Amino acid sequence: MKGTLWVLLCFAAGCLAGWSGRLPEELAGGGWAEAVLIILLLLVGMSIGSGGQLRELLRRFRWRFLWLPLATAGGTLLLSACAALLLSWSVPQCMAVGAGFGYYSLSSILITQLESASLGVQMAAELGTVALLANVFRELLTLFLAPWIVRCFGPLALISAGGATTADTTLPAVIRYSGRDYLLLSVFHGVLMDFSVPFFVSFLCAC
Amino acid sequence: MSWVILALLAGIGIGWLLRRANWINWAGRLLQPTVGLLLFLMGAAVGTERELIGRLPLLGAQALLITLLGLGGSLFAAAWVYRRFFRQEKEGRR
Repeated sequence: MKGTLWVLLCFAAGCLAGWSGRLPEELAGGGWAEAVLIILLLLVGMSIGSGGQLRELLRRFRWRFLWLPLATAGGTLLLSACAALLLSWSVPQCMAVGAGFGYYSLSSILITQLESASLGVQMAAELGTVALLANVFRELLTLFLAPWIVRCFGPLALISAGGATTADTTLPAVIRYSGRDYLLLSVFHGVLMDFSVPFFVSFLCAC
Repeated sequence: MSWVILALLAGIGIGWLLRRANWINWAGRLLQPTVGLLLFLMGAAVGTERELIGRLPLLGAQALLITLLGLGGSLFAAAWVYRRFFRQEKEGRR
């Protein structure tokens, strides 16, 4: 929750700074962002690679665990694509927004960067903003609706709803409402979804 | 393969090789400020276009639609996976 607030604050501060017109042109134009993005991806990779989590997860892995991330990705992408019927964005663009799976920081930044070549910087920033908000909403809805989700759709649905956040921010909710039995599956699901975000988003933005 | 994936894989490789180094934990700690900086830059791109600020409520509505659809899709898919692969096995054991 604190992390989400920090993210929104940084974004809002950026909006204000850009709006005031006092920022140097090249800073707002997105030229710097690409270099910082590469650093971010390296850091994300380094924290995945160096974590002891990875080995422990592989040791206790069961094949049926794979069904849940598949369901999360399939269900999310399929219905996100339907949003294109109602919105001005294309099918792959709507899917790319959905493919953040709640990982709002990485997905919104990636979309802004990758779409700016084809859409132009401003439209790309617009789609990136949609992605930021959509994925923040996903995390918040998961946290608020957790008891209801488990009651209506079963314990796995809460993990699916949490998407890429089930190894960290929504893990406490999963333990509380789905039960301790699902801790390992939840962490496994979160790590795999985390890892899948750059793949899905860069693939969909290239479509 | 795109540079996005390459950067991510390179990071994982570096992290794995250096997993015993003490300073590797800094990678995790640097994440938050880096994300903050990038979102600041993204916000700046949004803010520079003054029209876009006025459209934020519209963008929020679009975002909510995509979230509700995507979330709904994953709920049904997960409910199906639970019935098909998890629940029966649990009941079978009892």
